[in-house]
Amino acid sequence: MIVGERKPIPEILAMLDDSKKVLVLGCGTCVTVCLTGGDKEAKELASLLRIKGYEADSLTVERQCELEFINPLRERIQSVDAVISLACGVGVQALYELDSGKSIYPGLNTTFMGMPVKQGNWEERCWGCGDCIIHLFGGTCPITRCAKSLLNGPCGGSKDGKCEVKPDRDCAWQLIYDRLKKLNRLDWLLTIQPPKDWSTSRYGGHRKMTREDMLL
Amino acid sequence: MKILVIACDKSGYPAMIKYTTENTTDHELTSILKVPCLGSVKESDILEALEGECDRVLLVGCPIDSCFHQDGSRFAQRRVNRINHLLEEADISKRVVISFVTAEKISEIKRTLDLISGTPAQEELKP
Repeated sequence: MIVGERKPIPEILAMLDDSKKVLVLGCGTCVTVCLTGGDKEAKELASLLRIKGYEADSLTVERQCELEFINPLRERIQSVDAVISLACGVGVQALYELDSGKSIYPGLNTTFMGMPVKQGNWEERCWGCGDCIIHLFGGTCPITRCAKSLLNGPCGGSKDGKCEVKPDRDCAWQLIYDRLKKLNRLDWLLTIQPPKDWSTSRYGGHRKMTREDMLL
Repeated sequence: MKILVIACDKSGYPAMIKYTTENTTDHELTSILKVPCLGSVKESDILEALEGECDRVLLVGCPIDSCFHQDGSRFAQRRVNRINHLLEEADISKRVVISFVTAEKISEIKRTLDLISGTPAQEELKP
């Protein structure tokens, strides 16, 4: 899922400037699960804004990142001065594509693609590099989870299985070793990984995917 | 100060009724709402209550370690802390307060109301 964190309230208030009628728009997918931008959080923010004197209301759509779900909101958006989107950056941009002429502000900072590891804790798991090789590392992505994104073994700085860069995190290479040992595939570690082709990642520019068979 | 009270029906509500029957307060208790458990009170409910004219929302429920529903008071305590952080962050002076009581020991209510007034807590009332 995409994980986001709510922006500080003063930052949100500063963005609103002289807007009076505000719609707080939640998203019912990823940010609902990470408890930052769902219906509950949208209602809370709208409530705070009303206490602050704004004419605020909240609404949550199933997915803000798809025009199909936000197209029906056109009229609603026209009735307010500004929209605070509690979706990830994709959702905010999708709202702008409605060309409403209204101010749309991000209420969240989109932080990473990850998973809940335990109640109240989310961790990054994927960089979206565009060339997945997780299977070679026993299901632990060294690009994301190793602080140095090393592909050919640990850096030598880990201590007691913890990362030297962020000592509260597990060393990805310790996890990889432990998992491959369990799978009885430690021999995989003897294969030298070639330098990664980063052109498939965001470093190769803006990415796009097309399914010819799905085009209308 | 105008205070809306939300009390659980196991400990908080009987204690509030006993307290208001036996004591007077300088505060205006706008209403005393009975809920099954403080753990059932959502953040958005409390914020909605604060949108009105009340200055404080007072939650009254079972002691944390002996909540009738086990974790209700603990969850409520966390939510109160979170809401107060939100209110502080938004520079709003309204606050939520929580008080843990039993029907037999209601002195905690007085202590909480004294705290709300900003006056030092007086000697606890003997149950």
